[in-house]
Amino acid sequence: MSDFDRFFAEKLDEEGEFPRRDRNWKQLSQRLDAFEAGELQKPPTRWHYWPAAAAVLVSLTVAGWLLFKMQTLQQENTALRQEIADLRKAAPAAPPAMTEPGEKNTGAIKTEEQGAMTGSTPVAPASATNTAPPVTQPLSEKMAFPSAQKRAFAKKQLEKHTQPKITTPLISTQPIAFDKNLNPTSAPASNLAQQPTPAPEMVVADSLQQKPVLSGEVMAAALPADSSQQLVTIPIQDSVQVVVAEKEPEKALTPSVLPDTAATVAVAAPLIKPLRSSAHFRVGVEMVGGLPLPQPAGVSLIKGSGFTASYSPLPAFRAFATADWVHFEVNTDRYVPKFHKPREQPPMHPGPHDQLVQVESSQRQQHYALGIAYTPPLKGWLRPAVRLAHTWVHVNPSLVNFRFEDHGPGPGPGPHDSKYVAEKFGSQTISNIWRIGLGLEHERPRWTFGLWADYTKDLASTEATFDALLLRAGLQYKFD
Amino acid sequence: MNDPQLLHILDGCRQKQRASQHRLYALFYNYAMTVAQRYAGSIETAEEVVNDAFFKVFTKIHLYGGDQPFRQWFRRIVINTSIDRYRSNLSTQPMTELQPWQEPLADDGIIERLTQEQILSMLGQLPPAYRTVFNLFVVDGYSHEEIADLLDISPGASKSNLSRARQHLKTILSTDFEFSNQR
Repeated sequence: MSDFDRFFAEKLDEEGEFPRRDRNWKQLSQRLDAFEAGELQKPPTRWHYWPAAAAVLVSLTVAGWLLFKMQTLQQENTALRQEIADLRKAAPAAPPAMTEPGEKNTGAIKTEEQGAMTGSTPVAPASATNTAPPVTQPLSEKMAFPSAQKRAFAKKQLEKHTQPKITTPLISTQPIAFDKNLNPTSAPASNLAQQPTPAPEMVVADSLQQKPVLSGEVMAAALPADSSQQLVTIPIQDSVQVVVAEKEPEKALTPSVLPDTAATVAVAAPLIKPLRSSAHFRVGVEMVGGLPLPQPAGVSLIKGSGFTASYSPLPAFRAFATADWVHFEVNTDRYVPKFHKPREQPPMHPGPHDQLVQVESSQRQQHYALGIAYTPPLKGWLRPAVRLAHTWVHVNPSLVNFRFEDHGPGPGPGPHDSKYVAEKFGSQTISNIWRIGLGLEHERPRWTFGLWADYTKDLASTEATFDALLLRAGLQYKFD
Repeated sequence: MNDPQLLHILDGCRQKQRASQHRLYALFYNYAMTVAQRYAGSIETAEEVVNDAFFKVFTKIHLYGGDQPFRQWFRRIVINTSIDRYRSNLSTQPMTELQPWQEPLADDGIIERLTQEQILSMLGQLPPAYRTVFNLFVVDGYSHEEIADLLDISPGASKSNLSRARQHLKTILSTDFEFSNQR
């Protein structure tokens, strides 16, 4: 190293005195504050999106389950409609005399009644002038249910609706008592063994009508006239026996037992399930979206998700609580306290010629609300409702970045360079915020789908937050 | 090695105590500025470099194990921060016309009379590449191989830049201070 170098090294390594240390320390301190705030604010990665992921997962699960139930119900309804149509098509095969039980078919009807009384299969007399198939001939299974799938389904339906109530083997040939004067229990057991095996279609048809078979009168009232004529003469023995035979074949074939068919049918399970009474409690999830009012340029839409729970002490009123996590981005060209949180002093200018040109922050808030909702007793697929709630807004700590541009004298036109100041703002809880909302709800026995429009008003007028219009779409589970 | 007072301050910095950080800042601010100003060429840029270096120190203080003097560890951070800034500004640095070669002044006494401010001013007139190599080699004692690694250049380029830096300084010295002497 030459003397020249040594001289420079010595001179340059002398520690000098430098001004503006305190000002530079203040800037560094703010930077460290911002860094530490960012470190604190940053949640662990795996928990970052858990509310949204949980809401999506729950929504998908519920939507899938509902779709499955709807699909199943639709298939069931389609099958039932088809079977009813098939039955109605098959009905005209019966003789027209059925509907006029006065003249030519008198004998047949009489025979039916006799058959009913004796327990034997009613057969049209050979001397009858009517050449149509005997009225009492049961519809063949294939005729009523052309496809094997429908036959199986009908059998399943029959089994479902009748099986639990049948406790004794039923082999009676009693027709369903159309005339209450007829005593269905008077059929002698000795004739039972001679009974042919009629098809179960009429009982199936009866079950398809979704009417509990309590008496002949009920049936007659429930079915069309021509059907009722046919029902009078068709014994239900085998239709019931089919079910019993599947479960208890030995007992079902035992002729020694003569149960009261009418009584047995009378205790059949009710085919229409009672509707569930309205539940008192609801819990659910909701998605939140909205916009601040007024919405200045640079403020994004509000997005979030939340949970809700409610209790209904009265049928039309509900007390509810919600907790929503929302966030929005702010990128404005000036400092707006409502969106960046209020501060005591304006942001510090780094230099005398610096002008504030941009303020950026990412705001996160939690909205907790307690309120009441009223649902007018209106019937419909969608039911309107109104609600009022008090809301507490918890504003999370945030980092606000201020960008300044030097507009002082210098080389070239326009601003020269940008300077950034980051400030950390602590958390804050604001109360006296009220929410009024209008909603539409679709009720299911266990679920409620709701769409709400809530206007949130800051009555505290602290400039700490803003008014907003928030839309909430939610799904709630009901339970007692 | 480190005195007990400094160790106590460093412990506070590890616990992110702002008071300890402030004390360390006050203790090493002038030292950091002295180092940074040589590389930066201006006070304003040096202040930014120093704050960047202190920010690194406060956020990475857990990496300092105490096996070397803190002053040395800190100096290295300041130098590396200066080099980082030099690299980031490479694309925007203006090309500087080298002055025509002039013989250095015969009177060596002029050099000895130069103050630190005058030397820093001369150094500030150097192109950043020359200034950086000159500082690394002459003042901070790096070898050409280390400089080549740091600046991502060849050792030959490092030597060349050092030579040109010396020539440039001597030219500045002869022109500026000759002019001053004539006045």
